[in-house]
Amino acid sequence: MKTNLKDIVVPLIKTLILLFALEIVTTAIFPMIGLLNFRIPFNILLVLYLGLRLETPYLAILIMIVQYFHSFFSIEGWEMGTVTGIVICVVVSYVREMIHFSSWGMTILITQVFQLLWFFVQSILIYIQLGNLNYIFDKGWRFLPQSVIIALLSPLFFFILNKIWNIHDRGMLGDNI
Amino acid sequence: MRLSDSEERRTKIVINSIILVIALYGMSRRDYVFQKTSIAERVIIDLMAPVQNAVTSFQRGISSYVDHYVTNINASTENVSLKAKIAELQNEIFSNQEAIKESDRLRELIKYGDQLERKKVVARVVSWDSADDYKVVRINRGLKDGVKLQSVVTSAEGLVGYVYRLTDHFADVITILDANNRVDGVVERLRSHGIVEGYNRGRCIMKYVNRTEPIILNDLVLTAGLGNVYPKGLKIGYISRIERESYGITQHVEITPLVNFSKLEEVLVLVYEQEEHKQLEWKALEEQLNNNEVKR
Repeated sequence: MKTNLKDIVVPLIKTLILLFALEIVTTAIFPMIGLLNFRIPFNILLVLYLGLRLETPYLAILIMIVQYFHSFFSIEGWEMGTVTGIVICVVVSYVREMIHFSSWGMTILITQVFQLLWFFVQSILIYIQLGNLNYIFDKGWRFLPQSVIIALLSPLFFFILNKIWNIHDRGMLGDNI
Repeated sequence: MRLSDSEERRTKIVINSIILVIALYGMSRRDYVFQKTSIAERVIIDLMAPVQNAVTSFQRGISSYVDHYVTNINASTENVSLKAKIAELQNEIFSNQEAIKESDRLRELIKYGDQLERKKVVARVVSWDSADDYKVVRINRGLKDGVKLQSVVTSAEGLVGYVYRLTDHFADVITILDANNRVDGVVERLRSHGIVEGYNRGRCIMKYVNRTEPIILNDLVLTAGLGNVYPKGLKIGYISRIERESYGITQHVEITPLVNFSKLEEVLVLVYEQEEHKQLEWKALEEQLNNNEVKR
């Protein structure tokens, strides 16, 4: 478990730089090539990585920071993503022993499953705010292809993030490797 | 600092709870009408937006290069030198044509804004919002250029949206495609009122149109001038779908905006000079209302 701040601060800065690069690609390039209704939410991928692969008591703060920096590129704000991320972390803590990242296939599968959970939690929050299911259905249709792309990209990004956070590729969740 | 397992668990629960409470409080306080920027937001957005701008310009350059040269690369070898010369000339002509087109667009934009008694600021679209749930564009003009919160943004074709978030050099514009943006609209032919909101697939929906109103497809919808944001008479779009049920008091009306958002490059920001004065009036009214509620 990472409890020393020095083990967290430097990788966090690197993660934020990666987030900035990905957000710039998403906000500047995708719309220019005509993808107005389709953008890959890389912040979800990064928050899922933190939730799935990092075992630290400061996880909620890390998620909040990532979401806060995401909010510079979106009016979505940081709040909803932070709540969703923390809920997912709580779920992960219960199923920790069942999850492993022994292959790319497993990484893709786990990322996809937890993205569905992400969508489910966000749908509840949106429903509480709007009281309208139409928007959630509409969002769902866009979310499905996006989540598949995120899941397919996850092994590559998990590999990069493993290097950043100094976590072993095949380590179980929370292992001290 | 090493923590024992129980300490770690306790710390985690405490931090999770605190952050959850802060985030939920933030969610409940979030204003979807406009957002005042913090210092951190100003600094980061002003730092990052030029990068987004550079990436967009680079991408436009590459696309232009690919469109105009790479896809035409299958020329016969005997004409290579000639082609190179032509390409060079074409490049020059293309640059000139682009400049002419841009100046035409800007002239059109300024001519369009002439009818409106507001300060006009021409801006360029730098990027889009990173979450596709929100139809928001970032433009390269901000506080330092005289742009204010809730300034109306248009293009030569019609209404684009209003300024939602502002930094010194950049502004986020919430477009009429976004569900959080509500415009009081009027059908030009019949003067029937309704509220225009972002819907889906690049369309808007016009709510609360009485089902007895004889609107037809292709009817033009304009801003009504009610509310406190949009001036009267700006073109929004034309009606592209109507559904009338045999029950209910309203009809389902969809609007296709006149602005082609996928090709939006330059926009005109209309800044109302007396906006601050007006905002103060609104603020005073709100305070008065709040005081009345407290008294009750």
